[in-house]
Amino acid sequence: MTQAALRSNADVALVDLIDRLLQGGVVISGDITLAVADVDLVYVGLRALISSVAAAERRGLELPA
Amino acid sequence: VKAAGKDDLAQLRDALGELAAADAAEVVAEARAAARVKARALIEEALVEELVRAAAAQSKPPVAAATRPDTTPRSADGHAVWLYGVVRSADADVLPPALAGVEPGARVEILREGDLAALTSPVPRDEYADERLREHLNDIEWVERTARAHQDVLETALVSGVGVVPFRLCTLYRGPEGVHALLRDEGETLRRSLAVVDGRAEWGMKLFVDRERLAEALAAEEALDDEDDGLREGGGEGTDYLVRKQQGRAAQRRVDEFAARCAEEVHRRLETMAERARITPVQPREAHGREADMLLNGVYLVSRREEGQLEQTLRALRADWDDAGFQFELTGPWPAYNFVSTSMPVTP
Repeated sequence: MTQAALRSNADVALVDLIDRLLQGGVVISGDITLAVADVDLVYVGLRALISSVAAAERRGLELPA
Repeated sequence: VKAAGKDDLAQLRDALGELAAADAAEVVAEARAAARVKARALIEEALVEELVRAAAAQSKPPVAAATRPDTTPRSADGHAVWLYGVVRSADADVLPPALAGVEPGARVEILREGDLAALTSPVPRDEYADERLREHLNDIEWVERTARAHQDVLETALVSGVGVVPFRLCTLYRGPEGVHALLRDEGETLRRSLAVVDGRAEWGMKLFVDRERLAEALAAEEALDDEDDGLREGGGEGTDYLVRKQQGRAAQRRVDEFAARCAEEVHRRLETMAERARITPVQPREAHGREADMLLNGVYLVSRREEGQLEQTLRALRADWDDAGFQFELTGPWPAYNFVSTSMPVTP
């Protein structure tokens, strides 16, 4: 691993992780696998989370010093 | 009272008839919906019975399991098997012992089948049944915890120098027999995938642009050119407005073209040092959360020995384009999520 790339899993952006774990990786018909609707469900939650974080940051920036 | 004669009754009947006609369509629709619900319940019931029968048949421990300690059947005790990824059987011994699984307290178990081995852990089956699973997927904190645990196991394999074929989140089997069947039936595909990922890791390069900053940078450059050429515009107020509008559109086009060229160039430079490369869909702002547009979301399968070059390239790209409003984000090393076959035929 290169020096600059050293990072813990916790630093990995959730969106990058979700993209890989829900769009990539081997898909087989195990006894349980995620359906397209399930994947959409996760993205709805993810977007809600990110927009609420972004909104909080924006509010934070607008606060008078 | 007698005043309400035949005519009135007929009128009333007509009126009721009209009302009924108006409602009929709705009543039929409601009845259809109700019938559908009932039919679904009946089908579900029948399906449940069949599934229970099939599960009961499967949960009889296979004879071979008795001689193999790592294939203890879980299906009988209400556990399902979570599948993280597949490695070579010989490599599985290199992995640190007692890796944490997705469920608190559960450890990663290695299921071997010939030269292949699956990284798995037990999960309570009830938690991953249809409705319960949907509830979990609705809970982004649960999703994050689970996704990070899944990633942790695969990343441990990667940093241990073990080639690993990652599986998608929430790939579950009722019992270990299903996993053994997968390793047997899809062995060839899995070995091919292992050959692709061996000694390599996936890297992600995301390119963003702040279009306003890029527009300013391009305008500044143009202003310099104009001064050199000694160009000056004349004309009245009306033509000024039209000229400005036209210039605005042309500037917009230049920004878009320049951004697209930059994305192509970044991808091309990374592609040359990668064994394989792919462009995945760009994330919208509400997904990446930056005040900039994503132009490129490329993934690159790079030999672990060449990783140093990625950093060099990133530095060079930043030196060239940071001032023009471009932002770069390099992530990795990742297990090769984007370079394994995303679909395998059904295993019974």
